[in-house]
Amino acid sequence: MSFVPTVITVFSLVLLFHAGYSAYEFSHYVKHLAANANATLPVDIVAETVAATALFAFGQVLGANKLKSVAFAKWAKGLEREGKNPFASLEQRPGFMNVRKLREEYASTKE
Amino acid sequence: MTTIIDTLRNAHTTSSYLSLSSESFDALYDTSYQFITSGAAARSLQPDNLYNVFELQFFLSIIAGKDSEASTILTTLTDRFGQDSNRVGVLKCIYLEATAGAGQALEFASARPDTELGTLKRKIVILKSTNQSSLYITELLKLVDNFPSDAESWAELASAYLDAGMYAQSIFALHEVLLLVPLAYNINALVGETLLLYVSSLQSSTNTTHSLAVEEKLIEAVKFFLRSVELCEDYVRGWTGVLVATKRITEIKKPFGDTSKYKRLYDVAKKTLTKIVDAKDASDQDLNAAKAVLKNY
Repeated sequence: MSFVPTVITVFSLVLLFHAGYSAYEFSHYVKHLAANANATLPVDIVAETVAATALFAFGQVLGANKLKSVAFAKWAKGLEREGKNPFASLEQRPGFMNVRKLREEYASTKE
Repeated sequence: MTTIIDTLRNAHTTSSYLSLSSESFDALYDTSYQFITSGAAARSLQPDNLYNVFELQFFLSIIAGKDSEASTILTTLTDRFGQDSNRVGVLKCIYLEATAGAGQALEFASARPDTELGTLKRKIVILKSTNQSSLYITELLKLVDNFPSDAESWAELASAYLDAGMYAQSIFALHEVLLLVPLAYNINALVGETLLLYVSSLQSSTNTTHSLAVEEKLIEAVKFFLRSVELCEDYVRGWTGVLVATKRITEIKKPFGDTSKYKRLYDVAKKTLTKIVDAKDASDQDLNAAKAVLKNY
């Protein structure tokens, strides 16, 4: 993951932790101090949680690896460029290799 | 580390080591050798990949003539998988072929069970190397009769027919390969190339530049080349094939059918290849081939 997505992800996690801690503190406040026991979570904590989650998702998507094509032809093109034809062994046929000839050829290049 | 694993796995699956130049072969050998002897292989690979790398190293060392090294790996693999393993049997047979000679290897292969495809293949190869090459096609035919679902045997049969100049039979065998591995775009291109050779042999044997058979074969060749570029975008081998085949169709003076669309296909192929060459959107080897074909067609 490159720099910017990492910063975004870390920041969003800090934000999320902060929202969680705020909610914890709020629950204490309601229990001990507030007269109204039915008080709901303040809207800023909810907003912070939603924002942190959205930011986290954004950071992850931004830092994701380049997508690979699901179309066979495009995928095969990429493999072919790197010399990774998955069907190449049909033309090499290792099961029928002539090992003596290969050895002679290799030895002759070393002379 | 990932790149080393990737390189080795790729070399193993594509069997590229069988046709490398001696420098690239040595480089691959060194990579593999260091990866295994440093212990990095055993630490970073799951067993299935690890033994594939061992198998690769066996082939590399036996080809490089490092027999004692190959023997060590063979012992390791035999200890792990036992004498009865199909793949170990094949390696042992190859080892005997290389070091002890055809006689002992044949003896070993004959003692293996008849259901073991790998050693049956070795037996045929040994027969071929001991000057019984006329029997090679007969033996291969028996093999594909017994194991009709093995694509490699059909591909080898196609190559043997091609060497014998029997193009129609070679194309038939390649069709069988395609039935088993329909997405093999390189085999599609190979069918096209074999058809082009077939056409040339038809032309020289009948002393006519054009006949109905020639035209039909050329059109069929175009179809197979087009299938290969359909399966692999910007496949240089496929597009050069389309270019050559359509060029030969458009050069026919009095065609039996309408060939105007092949003129258009020729233009498309030329445009695509020029685009690939200009953008350098292929491997160096492919680019050189594309340049050469563009110059001549």
